[in-house]
Amino acid sequence: MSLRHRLGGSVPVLVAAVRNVSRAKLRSALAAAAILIGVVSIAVVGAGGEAFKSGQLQRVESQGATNVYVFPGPDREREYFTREDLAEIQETVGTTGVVATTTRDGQWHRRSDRSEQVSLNYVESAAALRAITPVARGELPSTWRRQAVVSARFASDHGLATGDRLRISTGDESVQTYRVVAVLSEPTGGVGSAEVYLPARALDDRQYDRARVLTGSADEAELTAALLREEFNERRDRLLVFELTSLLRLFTQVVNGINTFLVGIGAISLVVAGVAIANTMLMAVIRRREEIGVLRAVGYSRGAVVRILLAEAGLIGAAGATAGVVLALPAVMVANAAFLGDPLAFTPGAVGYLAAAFAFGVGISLLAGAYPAWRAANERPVDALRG
Amino acid sequence: MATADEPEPILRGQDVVREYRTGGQTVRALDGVDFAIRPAEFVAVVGPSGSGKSTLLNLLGLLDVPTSGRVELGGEDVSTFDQGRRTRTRKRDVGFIFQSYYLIPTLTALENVEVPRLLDRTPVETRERATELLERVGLGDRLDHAPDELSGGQKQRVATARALINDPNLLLADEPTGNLDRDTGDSILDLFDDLRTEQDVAVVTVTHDEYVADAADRVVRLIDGEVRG
Ligand SMILES: Nc1ncnc2c1ncn2[C@@H]1O[C@H](COP(=O)(O)OP(=O)(O)O)[C@@H](O)[C@H]1O
Ligand SMILES: [Mg+2]
Repeated sequence: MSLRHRLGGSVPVLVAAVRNVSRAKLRSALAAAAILIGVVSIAVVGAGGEAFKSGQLQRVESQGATNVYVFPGPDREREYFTREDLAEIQETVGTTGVVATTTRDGQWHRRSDRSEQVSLNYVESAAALRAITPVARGELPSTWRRQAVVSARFASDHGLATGDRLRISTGDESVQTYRVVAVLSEPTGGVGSAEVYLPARALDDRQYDRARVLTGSADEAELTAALLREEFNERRDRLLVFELTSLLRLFTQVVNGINTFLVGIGAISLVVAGVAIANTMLMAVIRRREEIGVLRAVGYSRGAVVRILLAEAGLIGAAGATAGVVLALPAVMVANAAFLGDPLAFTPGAVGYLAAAFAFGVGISLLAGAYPAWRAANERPVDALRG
Repeated sequence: MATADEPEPILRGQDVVREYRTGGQTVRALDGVDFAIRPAEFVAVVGPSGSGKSTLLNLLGLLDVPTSGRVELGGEDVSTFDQGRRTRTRKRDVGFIFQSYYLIPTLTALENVEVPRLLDRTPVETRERATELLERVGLGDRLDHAPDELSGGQKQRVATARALINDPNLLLADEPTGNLDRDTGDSILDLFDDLRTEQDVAVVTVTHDEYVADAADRVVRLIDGEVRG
């Protein structure tokens, strides 16, 4: 007596179903293949779309979704922020950090006979610069006077390294020399990125053309933006307030919509697969009509016949769905690698789609098996056995 | 009435009528038949084709209920049983040997015999019993053969073993020796005799074979749905 035989005895319905499914191997395999196609399309589209979405979200968030960007509004008399304006903004947002910057065009005197235009960004302090941009190489000085920080691209375009000197002038002022102390890492922080970063104390007017409020999360950014609009823009638009969260929400909605639509198409292919399974099962119960009559005659209940046939449909579905998920996994891993930089970075949404595709594949199969099973179980054995 | 030498019948029928309605027509396959089947009895049902023999056997086996009249099992009218109870009663009390055997072609002889008990979750006992029965019908060396590797007589013996796997009190056979050679027929008849004497199994068999009818305790002759003689 084999172990397999003993084990099989505890799941007799499954044993019977396996026997029956393997009797019509080709037909069962074709029906399973139909389920496989549906499961693959749902899993790949759904989970791949999730990877795309969260990849884009991460990108956008890394580029400042936790920031609120504030500019002087059209109803202000001045087109810049003074230190008083910044204090007012700081008061409204409480302890949250505010970094004011201003962008100017400058001249870089590369050699005595030649100069080219550079975009300059003046930042209040080294700490403030560190808060808005990641530094790749070099050390920022604690008291920032005659030092410059350059963007990675600017450094590589011009072969600059820390220690090099930059001779820079703005407007009609005299040329000042700065030493490059640090290089930023790419990508530099989204809105208002510049080529060369200089200390705000180098500005004689201390006029800022923008401020950034640094919050801890995208949600906090959205709240802070609302707070600023409420405080400053009740009657007149004194501030222009931007935050990425509401854009992100729109983006998420659009991507979700497209994804749902594509997954819906996949789901239709699964419904078609369900029809294939229903057809297979219907053929099976017609071909096995007498055999099922014998089972009923020797004491199998209608319920037992239904269970065996549903198990057959479920097995075909589970085989197709398992193969489908196995085939979908590499495709989803490619999407993960492309959008998230790590093939194993399965997002919860992607795992959800994989699980849902599997469950839907098996569920459709059971549903498809229900009518043939019911029909077979309700045939009178005398009729089935009348030769 | 039960007397000392006549035990209570397993099954009793009174004025049993079975009509089939097909299209606009009604066929009266059984036209008021009375019967009683007692333990260990061997009854042969004979009659021309279409006389209602299979219909009678279906009623005896609780596969069917009469259009009118009563079929009683242990004093209870079987038409009051619901489907589930009829199914359970069939499993417990009745063994069928079908005219064309209806073995499952993809299963071995042994697995075919096990089929009626497959859902019982007693794989070890079922296998022992099935092996024992196949040995008893002389197929101990054919356990793993598929039906299409067996002769007509061997298939019939597999079908007989399958009918016996649940230890029925009533064995119903529809022309079991129909086209078998005499030797095989004899061995089946011997098996029936053993079952009757050892386990009080009642055997009802439809047959065209006078030889089988001669071996029976009692012959029921059906003509046009009525018992004659
Ligand atoms: N399910 C059925 N539907 C209609 N007519 C039937 C059915 N079963 C049997 N009959 C008819 O009832 C009569 C008796 O049939 P049956 O019991 O099979 O006879 P036998 O087994 O003696 O050849 C026949 O005329 C047959 O055509
Ligand atoms: Mg007949």
